Amino acid sequence: MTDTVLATQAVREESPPRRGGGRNPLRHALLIALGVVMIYPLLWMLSSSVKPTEIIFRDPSLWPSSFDLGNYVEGWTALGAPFHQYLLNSAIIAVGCIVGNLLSCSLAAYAFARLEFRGRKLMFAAMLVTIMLPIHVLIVPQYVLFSQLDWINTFLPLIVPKFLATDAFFIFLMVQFIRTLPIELDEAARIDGCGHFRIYWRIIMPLCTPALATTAVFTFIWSWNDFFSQLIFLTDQDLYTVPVALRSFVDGQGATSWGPLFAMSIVGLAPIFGFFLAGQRYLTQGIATTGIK
Amino acid sequence: MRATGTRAAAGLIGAAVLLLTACGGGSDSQDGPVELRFSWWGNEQRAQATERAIAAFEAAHPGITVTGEYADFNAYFDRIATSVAANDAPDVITMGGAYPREYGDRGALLDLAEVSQYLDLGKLDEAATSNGRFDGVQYGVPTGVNSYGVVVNPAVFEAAGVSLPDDTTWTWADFERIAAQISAAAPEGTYGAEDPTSADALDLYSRQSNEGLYTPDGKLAISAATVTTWWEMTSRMRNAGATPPATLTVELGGQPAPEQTLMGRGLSGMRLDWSNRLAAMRTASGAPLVMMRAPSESAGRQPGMWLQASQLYTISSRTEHPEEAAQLVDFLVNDPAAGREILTDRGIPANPEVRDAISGAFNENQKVEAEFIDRISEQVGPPLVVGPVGSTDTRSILERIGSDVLFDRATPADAAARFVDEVTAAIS
Amino acid sequence: MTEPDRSAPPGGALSLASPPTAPAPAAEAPPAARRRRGRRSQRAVRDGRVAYLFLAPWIVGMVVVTIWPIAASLYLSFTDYSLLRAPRWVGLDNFAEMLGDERLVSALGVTFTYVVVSVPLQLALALALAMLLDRGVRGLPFYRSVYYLPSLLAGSVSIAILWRQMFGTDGLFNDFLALFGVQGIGWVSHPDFALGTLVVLNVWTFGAPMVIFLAGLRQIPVMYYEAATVDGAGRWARFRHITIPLLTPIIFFNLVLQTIGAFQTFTQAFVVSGGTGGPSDATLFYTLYLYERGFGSFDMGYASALAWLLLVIVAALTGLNFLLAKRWVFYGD
Repeated sequence: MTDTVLATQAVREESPPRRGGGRNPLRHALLIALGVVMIYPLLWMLSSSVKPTEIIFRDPSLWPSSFDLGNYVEGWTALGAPFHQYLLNSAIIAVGCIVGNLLSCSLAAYAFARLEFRGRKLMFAAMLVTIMLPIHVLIVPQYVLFSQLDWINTFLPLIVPKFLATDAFFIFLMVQFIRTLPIELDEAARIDGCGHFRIYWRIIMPLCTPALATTAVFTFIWSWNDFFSQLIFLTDQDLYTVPVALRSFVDGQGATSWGPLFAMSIVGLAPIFGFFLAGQRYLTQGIATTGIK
Repeated sequence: MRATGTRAAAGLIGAAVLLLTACGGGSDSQDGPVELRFSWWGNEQRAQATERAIAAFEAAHPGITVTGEYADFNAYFDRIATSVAANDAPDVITMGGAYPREYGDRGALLDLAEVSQYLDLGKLDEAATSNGRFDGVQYGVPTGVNSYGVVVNPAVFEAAGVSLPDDTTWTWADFERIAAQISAAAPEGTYGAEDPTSADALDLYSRQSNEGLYTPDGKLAISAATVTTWWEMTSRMRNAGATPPATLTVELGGQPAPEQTLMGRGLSGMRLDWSNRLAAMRTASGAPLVMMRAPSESAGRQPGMWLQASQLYTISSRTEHPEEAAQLVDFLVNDPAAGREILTDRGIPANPEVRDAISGAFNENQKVEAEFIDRISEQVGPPLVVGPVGSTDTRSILERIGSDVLFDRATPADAAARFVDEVTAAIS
Repeated sequence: MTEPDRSAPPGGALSLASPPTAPAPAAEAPPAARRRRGRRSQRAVRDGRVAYLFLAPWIVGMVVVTIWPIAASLYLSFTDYSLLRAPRWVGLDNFAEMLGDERLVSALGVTFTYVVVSVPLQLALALALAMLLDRGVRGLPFYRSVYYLPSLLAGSVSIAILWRQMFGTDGLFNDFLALFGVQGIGWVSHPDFALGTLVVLNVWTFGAPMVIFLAGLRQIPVMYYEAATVDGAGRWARFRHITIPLLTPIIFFNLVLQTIGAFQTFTQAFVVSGGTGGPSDATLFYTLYLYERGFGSFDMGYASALAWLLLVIVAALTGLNFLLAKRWVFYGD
């Protein structure tokens, strides 16, 4: 088995031919210009987060005339609990979701991509159909279900389903990635006497690092930004998550604390951005760079 | 396989229906502390004030603990609808506008007569209290009093060299003329008025010709002719530059937060709005905004204004603790200890005793608001007729058809006819 | 799924049967494939039980968590259900009402326009940037992160305000137009352009599919490129005959998921239009209309019926996608 895998690994030891594009100033100018357009709204938000609330809309210039971190202090402490409580709640949910999705979706994906069984196509279709209904018509029955389980105001409704592979998106994603891997890997491993669980765990999973990393990053971001279900299932202020807490700054009728809202939005963005920065290394670990012992 | 599948599905659906309809879970605490859930919408400042009021209530009523739940306006009503549907509603629910009627008429709210020995409505402003009463059943208790009028920025008037109108006699023609004058004289980007179209403005305007939006028995009262006249006026104003161009008006309509309005940015002379938003706009604009009586149809006639409950406290019909819930509501509206924390956040207190007890604590902005309510209290017309079931749709219908008028995609007359048709369909 | 050339990328111009660097089993496709076909039927039997073990969490999830809210929504689509009162069976009334529902027609129009325009644009941009960023650029992680950032923001409360800062009357875009002496308008709030700004918003978040493309690009064994280079294939030939064919499963994935996602577009339309779908229903997305009927008008029965119509439409299109995929998607298995 080892030979097989190593042989495949050897296939890719270095990036393919580069053609001096690395230092082409024109290309960089283009990339940077596009980048500025891309993040302009973010820069505006960053700039607004250091302006006093009253002048954010009166003086919409990008460069703040005054620089004041007061919004951060105010935003951090303005809500029922200090803001790190909400960060922690969101983090707990995110980590739970990531672990759940990685395990359950990869198991299901392996079955769909590599195993022959009765009803495979039908089940695969059923799986895709489950993500085609909008959440708004499902939320009431879901709420009934979870309230019967006495799970309202716990993180369970948000985490447990992930361990049951309810995010069909990621199953499909991993199926697609597994199917790009040559089946001969499995064949060879099978000849070496590996069972399905070994093939899954020792061969397919390591080779799917980019897909797993993508799943982790996306799960993190989605659960971090998911507003609607967190709003509905968590009513206790101490359990509020970042997006729900952020809405607490908004009041359609009265005053909205825009300064603290933008400041805490930046704070709330930092962890997902950090997670992405940390995770992107694995996103691009191709078939060759994966180490298998 | 198939047969079991069908049976299982049937069973699940059956269970779903049962769960949706049958009674909820059983907490069975007769003795021991009573736990109440109290929900409201709004921002964190309101939450802080409310939490302090809750603490005062808990101090005065040992044995009752209250958990506050809040969210922003849109999210709030999604959550309430979901939890009511799943039979898990909070005990005390804050509502507004036509929502108490939507919920009350469908049996989700407690008839407050059942808990009248714990909840004294006698001292509250009658007009506001009537906003929570439908077909003789009291479902809601006013949190405070509010009125719809014209917010005016004297600084913009002065800069344009236009003198402030006499709001005891002014008419819509004056409103139109003044707005055009200001726009003409003011720097670019500043407008005499913001486009005044809203459901509340139509209510006000049609009350001046003795219509109003709805009849007491839940029909549409406003006539297509009245709506036509209104849209002819707003179209004239827009074409004259007295109000902003259509795109700007729509842009502002989608972002109604006080800070984002032209008034809140000091860029308009007049804006129709609720008195409880005045303070936020004063803070945002940094200008000494004042509130004026609405223009009337002809000079000196009653201006169609009314005092309205800014919000209403209601009690879930499924609460296990109606007495304690009623005590909480009573405390919130009748006890100065609660008033001192909430101040004018939910409108000027509807109980005059509470208002007098706390008026010393008002800041400049709150004083202006309270003075305006005092001043127009003697001039208001009959209480507002709250819309029937289905009338929560009126706002979105008006916004949709209104933007057709703004972009000249419909004539005022056609749009008015459509408005009447669609609202009639929504409330039937 | 595709029978010919399992391990070698399709593409007549190149012969990759024996890559020079690695005589790995992966390259010996024909015998392997033959072996497998012969064993398929026995394997099917043996795989069955194992497969259900692998699928156990998913099956439990289906039965316990997923199915019954779906079943409930199907049931509710045949009822008059206000959320606040028990549902009342009305048979096909909701579906009959759809036939005469003009707003449903405009919602379908908006949604289809959006899907047809924004999905291809977003995917093309994502693929182009992924290619550009895949290799050979200095500061690659930096660019990747910058381009990905908007995707993190897209669902947040602040996006509505930020979008106005871009395309509102006083927005950046109009400042830019002013440089050329053009007086801009409020793009977000004009019935003719509002949907366009939402398309731009969706395209702006191309970071998500881009990341998936990047990951997919790294799955392509380098030996193919090396072999092709040895065979004298140019840059375009390598892109055309190696990258694209081997990336097709990922392109397909992005296409299917972005299409399903675009049909369900809600948050962005909701926050940018303030929940109204305005102006004049120009941004009345299907799910927005459904939400408005369900939670705004307390007509959850009708909303459920709308949801099931959406499901049928999306499922049909997805099925079509899968059928067409047989013609252009190449798998390694």
